[in-house]
Amino acid sequence: MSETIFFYIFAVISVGMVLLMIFQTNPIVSALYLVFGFFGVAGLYVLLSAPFVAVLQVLVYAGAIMVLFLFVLMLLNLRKEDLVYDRLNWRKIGVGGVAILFLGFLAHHFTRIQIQPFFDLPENFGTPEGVGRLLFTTYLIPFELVSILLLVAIIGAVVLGKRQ
Amino acid sequence: MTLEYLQTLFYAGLPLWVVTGGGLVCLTLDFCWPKKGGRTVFIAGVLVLATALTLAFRQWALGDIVAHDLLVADRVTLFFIFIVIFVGLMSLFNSYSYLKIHENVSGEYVTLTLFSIVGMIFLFASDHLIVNFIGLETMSLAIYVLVGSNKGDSRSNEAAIKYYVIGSVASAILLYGIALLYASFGTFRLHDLSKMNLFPGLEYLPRIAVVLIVSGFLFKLAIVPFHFWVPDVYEGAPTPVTGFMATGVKAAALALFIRLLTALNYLPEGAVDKILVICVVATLLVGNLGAIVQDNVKRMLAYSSIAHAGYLLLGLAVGYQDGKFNPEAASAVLFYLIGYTFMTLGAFAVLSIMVEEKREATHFSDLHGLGYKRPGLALAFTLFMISLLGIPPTVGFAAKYVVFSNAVKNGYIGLVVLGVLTSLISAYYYLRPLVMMYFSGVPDKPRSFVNAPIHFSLMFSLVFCALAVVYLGLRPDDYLKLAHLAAQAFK
Repeated sequence: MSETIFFYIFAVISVGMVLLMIFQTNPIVSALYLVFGFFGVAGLYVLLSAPFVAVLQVLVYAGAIMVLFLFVLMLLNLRKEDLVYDRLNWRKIGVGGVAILFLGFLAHHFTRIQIQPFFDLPENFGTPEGVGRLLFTTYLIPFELVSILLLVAIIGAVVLGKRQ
Repeated sequence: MTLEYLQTLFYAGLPLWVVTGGGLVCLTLDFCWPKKGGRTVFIAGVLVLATALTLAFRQWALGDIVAHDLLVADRVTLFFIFIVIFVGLMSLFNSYSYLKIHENVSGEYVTLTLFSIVGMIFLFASDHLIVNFIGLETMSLAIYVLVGSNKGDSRSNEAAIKYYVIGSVASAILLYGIALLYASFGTFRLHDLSKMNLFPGLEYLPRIAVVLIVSGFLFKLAIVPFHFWVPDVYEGAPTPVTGFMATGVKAAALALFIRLLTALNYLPEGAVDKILVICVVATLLVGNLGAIVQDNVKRMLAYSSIAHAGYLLLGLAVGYQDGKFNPEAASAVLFYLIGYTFMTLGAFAVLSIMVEEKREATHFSDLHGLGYKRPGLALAFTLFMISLLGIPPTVGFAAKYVVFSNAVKNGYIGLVVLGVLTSLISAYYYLRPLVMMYFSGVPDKPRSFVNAPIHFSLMFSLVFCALAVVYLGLRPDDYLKLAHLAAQAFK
């Protein structure tokens, strides 16, 4: 029962913070709301008995990546005039309405699913050891492939960023 | 994790590891000669891809095709590995002189091309959806950068940003679909998914998942409701990169798309085939009608590639009989893909020559008088155009014939009529360059590329593609058999 209560707390935090993030004009404030949103999601991971992923979420996303975001935003040196208010118009309301309808449709079907767990969780599920073991045995190929992906991203950033 | 495991893994994906390792080697070579390394790295890249092609051929010929855990190895995978590596090789040949004119010959270009090929291969050479997705992202990231690699040109920058933003949204949609599929069935393996059924309480979620996944793939294939980015991106990207995208990315996405269609048979009758038929009709109309009004050859070819994606999809849509996908139909599509690869690569090779003072000059009027000044080049371009149009002695005709006759056999007469009519429409815009080249006189001051010599590598790919277009048009039997043999593996 307490798990359900905590779930709703974390869910409200993450959804609420992300909504606040969208509705801000100042990107720096937006970024800070996003950090809180990440904390909410990390809480959800804990409830899903994946503590390792939760810690990584806080360390990597809320910590490292958001600091980088903030740096970039500050380097951009936005002035007040650059921050534009998005005004509502019929087109946006229409698009938003369709999106909300689709979300409602999804939510309706999510609540009706009754699935049994597909398999029992292994003993060391969600621990650093368990995750590491999976990464270096069963999922060796995707793990290595992700490193290629990151390498491509680095090369790409250098190619596009360097002076001719 | 035993030694034996690693050994099998090594042999199962040998061409793949060669390209991966080659990409790393090219990256290091680039560091070793920071000033003049571009040429060396190009040669290294070509050697790597040629080796990989040979190894893939060896696997095909000897039949030592070992599937391993997350890597699928069967004839159809090898077929697509062939196509993708070949496309990479040809676009390296296409790019060298283009980059040289732009003073932009760099090792990173080769490295990114190689890594995008690695991504493409992983995109279809695995039946684990997460591996496929990471492959897709590797491919896309490398290509976003290649699209923007012409940094002095603002259109190239614009194309890269557009492609990056829209491509990321498409990837997110696809990933959400994969997540929903996992939520419904608890597996990422296509092999397991093919045995799943809908059960009470779980009717809608897997269907929504399929809609999202299919949308993601239609985006990569540039099928009509998701085509709006194509003209701008194809026009803005450096010409050899456009050729690479139009053939390589489409081939890779198509490969996994066919595999998905064969695996997802839990859907009720008429769920997917109706979507596909609607998309085909819209794609054929929009692609062919959109190409008519263009005044830039590159933009015209972008619309033409939308239209050809429509013909490819037509070949797949007619594979549906009584709501079930019959992989037999895929053999026609595979043959079409071979032909499409040759003619599109060739056409973009010709366009790669058309550069005037470091800016692309691909307007229709830039072709004035080419037929008299450069008869060989003009002849090759003519050949590619009539092949794209589908006139007999070329592979374009054979490919369209195979796809349409297969459609007639499966009872999709309406689609065939539409296909033939849109092919007739396409005559207008495919023949226009020929009018420009041969029948509009010789200009007093022709473009400078008209007199510039063609680099050996570009000449090679031009001649190769031109010969292939004619040869496959005259003797399609062997390659039809090859496509048929590959399509058998879908069962």
